[in-house]
Amino acid sequence: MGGQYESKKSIFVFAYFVVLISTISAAGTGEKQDAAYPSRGVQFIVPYNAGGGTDSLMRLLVNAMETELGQSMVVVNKGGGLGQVGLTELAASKKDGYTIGALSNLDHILVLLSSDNVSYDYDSFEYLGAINTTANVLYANDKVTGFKSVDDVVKYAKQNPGKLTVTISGKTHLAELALFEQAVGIKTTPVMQNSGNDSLTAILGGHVDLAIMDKNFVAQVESQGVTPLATFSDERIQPITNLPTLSELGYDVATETYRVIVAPKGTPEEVLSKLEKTIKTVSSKSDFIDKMANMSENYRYLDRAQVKARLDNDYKAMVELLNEVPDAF
Amino acid sequence: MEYIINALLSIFSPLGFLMNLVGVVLGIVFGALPGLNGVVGVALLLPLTYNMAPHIGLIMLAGLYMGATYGGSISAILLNCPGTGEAACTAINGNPLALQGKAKEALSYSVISSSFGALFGVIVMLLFTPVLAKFALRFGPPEQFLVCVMGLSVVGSLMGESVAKGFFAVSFGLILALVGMDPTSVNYRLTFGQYNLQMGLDLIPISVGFFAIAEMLALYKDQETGELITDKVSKFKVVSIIKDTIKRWKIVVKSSVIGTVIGILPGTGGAIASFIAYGEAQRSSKERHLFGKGAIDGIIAPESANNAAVGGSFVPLLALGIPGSATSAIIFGALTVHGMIPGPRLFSEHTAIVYALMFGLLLSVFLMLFIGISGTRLFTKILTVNTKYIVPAVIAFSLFGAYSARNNLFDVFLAIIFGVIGLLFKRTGIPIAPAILGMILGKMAEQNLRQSMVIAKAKAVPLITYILVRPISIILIVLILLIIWGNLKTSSKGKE
Repeated sequence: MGGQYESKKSIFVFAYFVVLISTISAAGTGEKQDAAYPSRGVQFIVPYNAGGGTDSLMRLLVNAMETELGQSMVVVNKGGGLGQVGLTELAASKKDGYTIGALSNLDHILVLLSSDNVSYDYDSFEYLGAINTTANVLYANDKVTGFKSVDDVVKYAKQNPGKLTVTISGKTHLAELALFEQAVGIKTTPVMQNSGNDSLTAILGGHVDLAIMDKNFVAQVESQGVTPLATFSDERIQPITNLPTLSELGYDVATETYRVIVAPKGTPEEVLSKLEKTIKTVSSKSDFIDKMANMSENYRYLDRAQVKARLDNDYKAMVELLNEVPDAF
Repeated sequence: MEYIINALLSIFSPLGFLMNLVGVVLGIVFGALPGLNGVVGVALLLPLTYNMAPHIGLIMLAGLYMGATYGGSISAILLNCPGTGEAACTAINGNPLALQGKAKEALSYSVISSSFGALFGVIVMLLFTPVLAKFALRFGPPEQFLVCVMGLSVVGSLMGESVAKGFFAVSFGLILALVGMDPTSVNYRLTFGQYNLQMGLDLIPISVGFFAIAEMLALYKDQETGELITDKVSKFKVVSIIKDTIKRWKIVVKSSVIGTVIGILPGTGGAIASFIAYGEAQRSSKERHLFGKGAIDGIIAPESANNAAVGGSFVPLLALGIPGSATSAIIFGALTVHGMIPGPRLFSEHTAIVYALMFGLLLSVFLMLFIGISGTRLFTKILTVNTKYIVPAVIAFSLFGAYSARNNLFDVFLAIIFGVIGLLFKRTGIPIAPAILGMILGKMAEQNLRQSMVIAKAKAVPLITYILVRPISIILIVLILLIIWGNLKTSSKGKE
């Protein structure tokens, strides 16, 4: 008797879970498409966690696009694997313009070139535009090392291969360090961290000699014994225009980081051009640019053709690096 | 002085006070619901603060953080489902007390010790932020590694009857922490070709499964239907509990110090603080024999420690721009949205806002105390609700919580799988808390050990020398040996 009761109970539990899970998975799938896009809410996948750089910038953009498009847009954070988790879902979603998203250029390329089980490829997305540009900076703890310039670093590293420790976080930094090492002909020891904040802790505490971190850390390290030496970007960058670029100093390295708004390949052309135009209109307003500046983001608009060309370039550079330094990242 | 008066005016302004209250109440709710926690709550409310005056938004988020850290203990005590990792230890003694009909006492001890710990942490933050931030920076990879070892050595206090089962549980947790990206080479391991495993196992779905879902499954199996406890919840006086807590001042103060210090260290957080405080309390408590069966000290220690860590985690954030915990990392985001850059200049450039934040936190401690004490009657009502309503409700919240952590359906399946594993653990007498401890500390311990290895190799010094020959390391080693010795003493006494 008890057994019968038990099995009935188990069926109920099972049914309960089925209903619950299907409710969760059903959320967000929509109905048929009407004539004018967008006729209903748009889901915007940010493949990074809430509160990060990509997330903050994209929330700002989505907020502005919402007003312009006259439909609600919902940001959904799907962080993990340098964007791979969120982009896997985006690539597999309906190609109707009601699910779009964003990515970060170098993370995207490095995942494609080095991660396992990537179910999408470079051509799985339409790259709609970019609104910012930022760069990483090479820092030195001058209290520990006494380095005041990139030349000091290079001189020491040439005499002491592998001795300098460089705190970094993520594959982008790993690739940038490899590019720098390759350009200069030195070898250093990378110390991998989870985040830029962990790198900051390590370099401020003098536990490592050098760091590669975002340009926004320049203000944070001020007068604490850590000196920014040079940027990785091809041009000097706001607001730290007094800081030289590595290429200016004669080291042939140039990388930049920007966020690209993307839609799955196969989305109708009129939807793509509407999105491209909307991004351009809302991001070029002075009020929007001011808000970006408030978040220490530099405004730089690239349209579809421009952003694709930039990405192609980045892609080529990373393939070349990988050919010459197979374990670069 | 002018800034202090202005800060006081803004926290007691109707809007400031209201938002603080809203933050604390929402925090308690988020903390109490299994699967939701302070991190999720702060992340959810963050967009709302974009359009508020910066100090008002910050006060709300800080209040939420404070409330959530306490709120976790409510579901831990009443349902044995810790809402947050911070409350995992509280459940070990809190739930037995609730089942003995002493739920209100347990909740009152929790809120009173939480408030004391919180107050301690906030006052330390108010007075010593610049000095302590410098101290925090001296913790490099070797010291951080030893802090993790110290946390792991606490496992002796969490084992229950069988040492072998305890070690099994902690090893299980450590292995879970290995899944995903190798922190040093950034390559994947133990992912079995699943891209969902590449980002590693998140703590929320695992702990929700282990604690909440497993507990609900067990409850469902054990009882047909009925109420959680049949005895009447006993009556008590708040004043006598406050008096009793004051009598136990040694444990309260010691745990608050542990919580504040751990909170200050970047990358740690309230969960680690509460585990270490719990271990230390068991080592030194007079009611050692009661641990696991409803020891008051076993509630007071983790609760004062995890709330003390709140204030502590703001120290490196305000002074250096380094968040001390996952929640303060999101509050960091709130600062930058308003154009404030956390770091050495924050205090001089945005004095008024920083003071408002600090005093707002202080006020939120008292709001939390008031809500917690007046709410005990309401909270304990859940014990009289029929379990046939509680079980599905808790499971639903748990699964939504598991989903919301990373918006990933895979995490929902993880929570269910770990619910079943948790049930197996319960049935075979394997303690769950050590597994969670192993998972929390595993990543941090590994990363810091391997960073130490990398740096030692680059500097061409032996690893042992690099880790041990440092002033803070020596102190930490002594503490670790003390904890292990205490555990050995307890376990040999238990055998006699």
